[in-house]
Amino acid sequence: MGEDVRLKQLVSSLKSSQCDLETAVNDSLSYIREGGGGEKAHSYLCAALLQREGVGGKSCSNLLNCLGPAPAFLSAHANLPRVTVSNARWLARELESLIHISTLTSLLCRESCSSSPTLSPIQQQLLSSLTHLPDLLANRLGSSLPPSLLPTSLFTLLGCALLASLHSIHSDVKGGEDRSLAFLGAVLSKAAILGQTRTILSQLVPVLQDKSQDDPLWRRVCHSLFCRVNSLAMEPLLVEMVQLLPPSLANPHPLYLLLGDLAMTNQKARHVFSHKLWLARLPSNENAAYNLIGYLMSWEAGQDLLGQSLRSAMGVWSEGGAVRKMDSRQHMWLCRLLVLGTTCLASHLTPPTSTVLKEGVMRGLQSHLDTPVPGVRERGMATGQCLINTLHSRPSEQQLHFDLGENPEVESILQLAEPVAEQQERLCANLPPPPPPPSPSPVHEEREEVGQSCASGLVRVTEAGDSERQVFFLNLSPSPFSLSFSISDDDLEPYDMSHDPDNTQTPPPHYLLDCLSGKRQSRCGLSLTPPTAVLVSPTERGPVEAALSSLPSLISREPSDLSEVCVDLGRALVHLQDSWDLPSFTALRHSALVSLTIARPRLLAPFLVTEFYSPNHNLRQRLDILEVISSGATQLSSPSTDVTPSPSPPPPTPGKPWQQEVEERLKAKTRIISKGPRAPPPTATPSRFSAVAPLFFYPLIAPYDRALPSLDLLGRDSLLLGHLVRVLGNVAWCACHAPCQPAMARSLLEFLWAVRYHNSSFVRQAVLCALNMAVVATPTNYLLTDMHEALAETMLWVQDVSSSDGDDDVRELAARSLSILAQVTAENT
Amino acid sequence: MEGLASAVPKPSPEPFYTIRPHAGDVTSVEYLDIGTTGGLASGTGSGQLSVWRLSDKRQMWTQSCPAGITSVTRLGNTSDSLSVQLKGGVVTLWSIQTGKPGSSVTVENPSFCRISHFSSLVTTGQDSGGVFSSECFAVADRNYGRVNMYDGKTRKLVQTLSAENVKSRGMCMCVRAWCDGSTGIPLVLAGFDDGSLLLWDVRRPSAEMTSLKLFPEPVMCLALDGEGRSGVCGSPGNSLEVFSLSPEKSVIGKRFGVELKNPGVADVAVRGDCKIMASGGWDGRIRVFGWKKGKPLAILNYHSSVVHCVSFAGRRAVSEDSNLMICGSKDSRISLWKLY
Repeated sequence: MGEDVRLKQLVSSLKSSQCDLETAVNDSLSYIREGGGGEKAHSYLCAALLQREGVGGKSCSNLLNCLGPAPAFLSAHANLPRVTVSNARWLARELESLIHISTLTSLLCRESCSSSPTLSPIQQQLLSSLTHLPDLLANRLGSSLPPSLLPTSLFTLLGCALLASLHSIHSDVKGGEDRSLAFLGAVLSKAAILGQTRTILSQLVPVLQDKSQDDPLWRRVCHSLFCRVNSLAMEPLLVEMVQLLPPSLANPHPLYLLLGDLAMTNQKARHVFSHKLWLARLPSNENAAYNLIGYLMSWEAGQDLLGQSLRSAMGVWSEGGAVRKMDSRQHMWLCRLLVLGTTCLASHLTPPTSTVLKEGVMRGLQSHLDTPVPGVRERGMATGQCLINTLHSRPSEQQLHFDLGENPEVESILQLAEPVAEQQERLCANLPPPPPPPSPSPVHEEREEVGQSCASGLVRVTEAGDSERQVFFLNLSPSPFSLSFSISDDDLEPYDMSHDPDNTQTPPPHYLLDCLSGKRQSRCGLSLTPPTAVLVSPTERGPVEAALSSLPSLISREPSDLSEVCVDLGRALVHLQDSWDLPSFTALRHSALVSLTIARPRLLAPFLVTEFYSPNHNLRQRLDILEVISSGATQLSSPSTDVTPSPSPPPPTPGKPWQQEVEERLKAKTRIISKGPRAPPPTATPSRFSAVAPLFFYPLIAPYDRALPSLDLLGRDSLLLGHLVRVLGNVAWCACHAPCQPAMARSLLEFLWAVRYHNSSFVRQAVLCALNMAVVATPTNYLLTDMHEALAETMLWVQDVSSSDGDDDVRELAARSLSILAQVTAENT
Repeated sequence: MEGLASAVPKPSPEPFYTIRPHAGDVTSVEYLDIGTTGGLASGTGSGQLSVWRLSDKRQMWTQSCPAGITSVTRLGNTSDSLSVQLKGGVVTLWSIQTGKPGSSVTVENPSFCRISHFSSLVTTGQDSGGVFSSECFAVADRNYGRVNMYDGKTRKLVQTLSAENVKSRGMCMCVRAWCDGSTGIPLVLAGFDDGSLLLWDVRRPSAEMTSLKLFPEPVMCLALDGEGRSGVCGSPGNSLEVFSLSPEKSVIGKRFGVELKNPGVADVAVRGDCKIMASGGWDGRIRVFGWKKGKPLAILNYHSSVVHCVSFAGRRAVSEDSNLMICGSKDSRISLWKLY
């Protein structure tokens, strides 16, 4: 009881600004040293101390550190979110002096003395206080954090400390004592979860790899360390290790010496090794493939796992859809793994796995050969070639051999299919030579510092530093630039070279037949290429572009062979593919087809309709054909715009004739009050469309219910049906005032009747549009006499739609239709 | 002001003189040094052989040959002879001073391949046994993959060089023969139909020393620099390829390629001082590049048709002609340029 009162007094004296800080701190210090309250009292007192302004001095730091580093970390962690900035700064200085390799090592060693397999709550607090220190400090101090408390340096130091404590644990275990690696595993996991996997592993792995090479006890220590890793941290840790180790296919693999059969004992690790690393994660360096396969090849169960993984990876590789969707790096990675895995596993393959792989290769090769992307196809061919040769183990003269071009990717795949021993030799030979003296770079300076600070500890951290440097220098590939021709042309000053026109620019064709089968002529009259069919089977971009853009003007000149070639030309245009991604391909082709249609509607309209219903077109082509029909009809029905060119005015003679001069002066002096009609009244011309409208309309409407394998208007191709209905409406509207129009409108109404309850709102909208067009274009007396019944039924339907259709747009359109219908009927009554 | 001036490139140069022989497309031009003045020999597709003095740009003499002229080559350093190759395969020596024909030899060749005399590049101090004197020349054979060596003096076939894989090479399209400057080994470099270059040591005629495939199309023209250590060749495609040679290691290596805007190269040449090279194109333009790195320097747009031949004055030129370039074209003009 008396103890509690004393503690309360101390806390209040520390808090209150009237009491002297020095005396209060000294009192508290003596209270704790006397053994009062232990850690709990320490945390109270520290909290009180940190609430006060202007904390500093020797005695305060003594109070913080009096029970060792762990309570200091804990109280810093607990109080940091609340302290003032000046106190946080003081705390940062204190912590900076605390965070030292020897402090951290002794802390870690002390925590691993407990034999409990799980962490106590205190240990968990300590762990989070240690690992979150940089974040908490940064929250208070912003960017003015001392460099040694930045996450990278903290975790580098932690890595060194981890290594040092592993050393002492190793020697303790050798001496027959029991040690728990739970805390160390937790530190490792925490670092991985906080994204510092590379920092901490680059300290650990090189040394551990070296130690575990020939010491079974070290292997044991490593196995149990990695067994203790949290399942959340397992994936980043393993992915990083696979990349960090130098590539090797040795048996047993260095990774196996470190991890043991972790892939079999730990569910998460198994998932990473058999699935994630194959299909989901994409390691960034080349080592990973060797290390992954080498690790799995190290023991029998691992080989079984490798077989399973190969089978599932083959499933993905052989599927056409997956091939299309995979990005190129992922695809390359999968190809490498498949080839290397199969090469290594070839002698241990079980018959079922082998069968699955053989089937998969055949299927996958097919789907790769079908790919239009050259890179994917070549990689697929190389992979297929290697896999087939390995799986069937044929003698060398019977082996499958594709004629693959020289391509670094392909070559790297082919390399992986070489015998394992050769590859291992090559990998050993490629191991980095002893590093040259490092160039001064900030990264290295930092590492040097850390190395020096570590040197006071137990471990030879220079090893780690060195191998890190080796990796760094490996990335510096030798410059490909050869210096053999050091004298340059720079002293020669170039002349103007702008006058170098491109002769390969194809001149526009002069005749329609040139478009079908053009001959390219160079300027000097040398025929550079044999005559090629420009539009029928296009081989080059230039001629196609030139032909497409000059077609409308060629056609408008009405050449004598237009009737002969127009259908062939139309066919070529309809089938033309945009192989070169021309900037306005669709528009060019459309205008060419439309001008053809206008020029020869009697020939083109039946052709276009037949093409629309012919089986071998895709959706895009059919839509294009509909568009052409529609714009052709519109342009034909509008009055012809091409006026005969008026005789051009005589060339201006130097000096105006006197009449003109006089007229101009008169004009300048005359004030015109009002101007009468200036433009001549539009002249009436016979519609060009009225005679050919049935050719556009009836063939298009007749076979709509005939289903083809590639065209099912009443079923799945509702988009096309909607467009068809609109185009029919447009054609009926364009035929306005033509004698055949009422009959057309009548057929259209009947047709609309058949599709009016279509479940796609797009089609229903099109129906309403077509209805409006037909009604507007048809003379009213016909509407009210011949079509009266149909119209009345239609009106009922439209009313129904306008009130109860599910789609807003359709309802609105129906309301408009109603008003149009009402207007039309009202006009006549 | 200086900076502004250097930002705007110099206007493209004009030919300093043009010559129009009487008729026919100019197929071959060659610089001559006649006493103290420069001169020039030209051959046309219609068989007209002319020699011009450059000091007053007058014709010295002109002669008609029975067939179209394929190539005109100056023999040796000091000799008075001009070796003229006709379409039918007759190679005749003409005297430059008198304009009279001398001895002639008839060779079996497809008549599109220009002959190459051993003297035409570098004359070495070492004599290679007298077999390959300056009158000895190399020319394509009618058969696939073969190059013939003739001796103009004895009028005999000396040697037939054969490619290892005769069928796949196609016919020889262009050839260069020279003696290596340091070792004196007689060498022949030939471009073939399949787009590859083959190098022979003449003493071992049965197979090439080495080969290098440069183009998908035939090699149309070939030129070597003054030392015979690197060269350039062109094809119907739109690039020039510059290669390096090292006969002692029997290696031909590609150095760099130069892209041309329009395809088709009819002739290439490298100036004796190894500063610039020039190509005559099917589009009628002469393109000038730096020799070391292939820096584009000028595009000379004078001729209206294929530039059949490009020739530099070379090391033997009189001093005022040291930077002279001569080009002949199908439009029956010869243009003279002074660059760099």
